[in-house]
Amino acid sequence: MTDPTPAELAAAAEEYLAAHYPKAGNRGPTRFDWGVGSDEVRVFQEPDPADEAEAMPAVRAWRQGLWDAGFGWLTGPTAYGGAGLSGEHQREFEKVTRRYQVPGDSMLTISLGMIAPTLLNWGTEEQKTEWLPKLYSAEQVACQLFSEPGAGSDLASIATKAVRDGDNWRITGAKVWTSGAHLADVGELICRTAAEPRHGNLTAFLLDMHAPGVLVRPLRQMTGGAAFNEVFFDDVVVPDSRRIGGEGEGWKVALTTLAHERNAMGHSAFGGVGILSTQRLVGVIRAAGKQDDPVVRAEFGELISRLRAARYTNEVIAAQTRAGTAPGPEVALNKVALADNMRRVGEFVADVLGEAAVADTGEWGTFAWTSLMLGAPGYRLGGGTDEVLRNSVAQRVLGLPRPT
Amino acid sequence: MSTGLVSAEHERDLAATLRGLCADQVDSAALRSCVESSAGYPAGLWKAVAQDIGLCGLTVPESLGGLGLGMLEVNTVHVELGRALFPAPFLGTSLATTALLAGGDVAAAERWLPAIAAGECVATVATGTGVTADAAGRLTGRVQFVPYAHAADLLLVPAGESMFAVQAGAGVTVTQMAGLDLTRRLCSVEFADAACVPVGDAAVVDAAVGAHLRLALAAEAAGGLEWCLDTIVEYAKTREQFGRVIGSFQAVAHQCVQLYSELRTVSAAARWAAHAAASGDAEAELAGYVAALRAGDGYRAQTEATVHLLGGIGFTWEHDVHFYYRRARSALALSGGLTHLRQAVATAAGLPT
Ligand SMILES: Cc1cc2nc3c(=O)[nH]c(=O)nc-3n(C[C@H](O)[C@H](O)[C@H](O)COP(=O)(O)OP(=O)(O)OC[C@H]3O[C@@H](n4cnc5c(N)ncnc54)[C@H](O)[C@@H]3O)c2cc1C
Repeated sequence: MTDPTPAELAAAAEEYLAAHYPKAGNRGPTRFDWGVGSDEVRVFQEPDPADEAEAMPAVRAWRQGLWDAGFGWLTGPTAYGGAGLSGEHQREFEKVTRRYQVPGDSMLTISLGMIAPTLLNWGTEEQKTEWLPKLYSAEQVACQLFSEPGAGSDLASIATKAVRDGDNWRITGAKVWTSGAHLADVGELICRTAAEPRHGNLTAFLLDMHAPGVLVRPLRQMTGGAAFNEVFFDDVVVPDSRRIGGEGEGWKVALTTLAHERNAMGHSAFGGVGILSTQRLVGVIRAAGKQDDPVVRAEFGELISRLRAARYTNEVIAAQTRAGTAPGPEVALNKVALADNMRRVGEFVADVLGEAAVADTGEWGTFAWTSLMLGAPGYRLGGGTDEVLRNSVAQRVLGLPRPT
Repeated sequence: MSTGLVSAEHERDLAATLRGLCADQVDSAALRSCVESSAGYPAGLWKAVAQDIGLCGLTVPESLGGLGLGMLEVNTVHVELGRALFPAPFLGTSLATTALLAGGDVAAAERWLPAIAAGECVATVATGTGVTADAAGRLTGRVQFVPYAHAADLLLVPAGESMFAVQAGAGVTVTQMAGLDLTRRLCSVEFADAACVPVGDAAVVDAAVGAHLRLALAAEAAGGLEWCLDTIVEYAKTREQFGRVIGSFQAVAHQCVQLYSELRTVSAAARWAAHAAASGDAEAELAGYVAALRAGDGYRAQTEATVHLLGGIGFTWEHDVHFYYRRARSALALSGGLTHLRQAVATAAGLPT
């Protein structure tokens, strides 16, 4: 059987989606009408737990349906259930999905964007055959168990311990700020498995989050929501078959995940009609009646130039990647720029709205911006802080020496 | 949006040719002798570029003897010229090509473009107002800030509703202005009853010339920032203070990363804008202003950062960095300045007035 062309794939996807989901209506993904629909501008998805519990089955059903119909992992190797198609097919498919009201993958970013690619890089044949279909069909959802209270930026200094016990490992310790741990079935866990040397003493596992001894407790964030958690391990047993990579190779496994994370976080999933939307910002200015204020116009121009330039940069990098130049550690700068732009949007909007940004008048699209202002600082932390990412670029891209 | 965002093979060849030529002929010593010369550029270098490589025919249609290329190649060329601070009348000549093509006057295009393409006619464009045309079709008045007018055989000047072509000679007096940018000469041109011919609608030509200028200056900024990054990273790896190389100080390393980050953004924005212009993208105008603003702001800030990171030597005449700092400041003013560019982005992004 020959592969479908991108156009044939798009047609098949259209047929599948039309049979299962309502059309997105005539307001396409690129149109935005001030005052219509939700005015949410959240940086992090943090629905209340009841809504979230309700949303999750729909997300799983969406992925399972895609998987069964052959659209679940378009670019994946056929050996592990993927369709073996190109990035072009993937983009065509995404174009079609935007025309339908589908649950989407936003709750699965870590699972699909970070953990699954890490397994593809590091997993054994058995692990890949077993886990990749489970992750892409959302039968299992994964989280990233890296940070600890004493080890955030300095990830190599983690203290959570895994000790060999025959064919098993016994794990004791604590992780913190774990996004989506409360929704996850498995987690990529980095543990210390030997005393020294640094970077060579860590090992990665795929931990069952439902195993005895795992305790997940929500952490309330400064936004008010609870999208991340603390996770405790009290003598949790993990079979050695769930080890990812070799003993002592945990640091390299973690770096793979971090590279995927920094790449994924730098893409402006917030563009389109989302929180960085030009039309939404025009809407704010008009709602405040400030479109003729030359200072507001100039500041808006400055902001838009930064948002567009970041988008153009992503597009040029994507084109270079398609032409065969894989991006290196410098893609972390896309995330730094995105976080900076979120901060700038918050500052601009606060200035335009004045009091309406700090107390709710009930007007659409005004007080809602507080969730962006509150969420933006988190984006500078998650996935590596600005400082740590700059260190990485200084050393690994520019070749500057480490601070001594 | 795939082809065009990455440079094609012929562009990489062109870039390599120009880079090689500049490395040979526009080194620090050559740059300095240009700065001190009255012409501002060496005739031999100009001949090599204009006649041997045929650079002035870059955007001239093939039917008129040019290479028939477009804004993507303009981007590639100006990155290299900007990197070397190439001190010659290329920018004005290529703006004049755009002006003659945008004006749509076939006779004018056929009269001058073949000579421009052959490197036999140096041209330039004035954008300021101050010149009037009388009923007999003669120009009077003064325009300033005209690049390399002292070297030009042909000047394009707006007066009233029209753009006019004027040949150097009777009734045209050119004076070089003392300029901040020592590697790009600006002139004041006085017209006294100068003979001229109309070549198109001034507003139309001006819009096309402005768009071309913004893309060229943004590309030059990308090239200049490459020079700054190479210079500062090398220095940060070798200059020692407190018993260690300064690049190991995080405050210094992070400023180097900031420079690198701005270089990435400026090059991508310049390339994207060139691509949008070449493909007639609906966002082309916005992208051109975005590129000009990010390039103008980033180049100015990062040449200053480079001076700073070089320490005292960076503040000497002897180091080349001040030529880049001068170029950055001057280019930002030529593209309209920060406030103007910000307002233009706002309008182009759809903020109604
Ligand atoms: C919203 C959110 C979601 C997250 N999700 C996850 C998750 O799913 N899984 C997970 O494992 N972790 C997650 N994290 C944790 C995140 O990765 C860490 O918070 C982050 O790496 C910083 O570590 P830290 O909090 O310990 O701060 P620290 O490392 O203590 O840093 C404190 C300050 O010191 C600075 N600093 C530290 N080291 C250096 C240095 N070498 N040079 C200069 N400055 C330095 C930092 O930049 C920062 O400003 C999440 C965090 C947030 C905010």
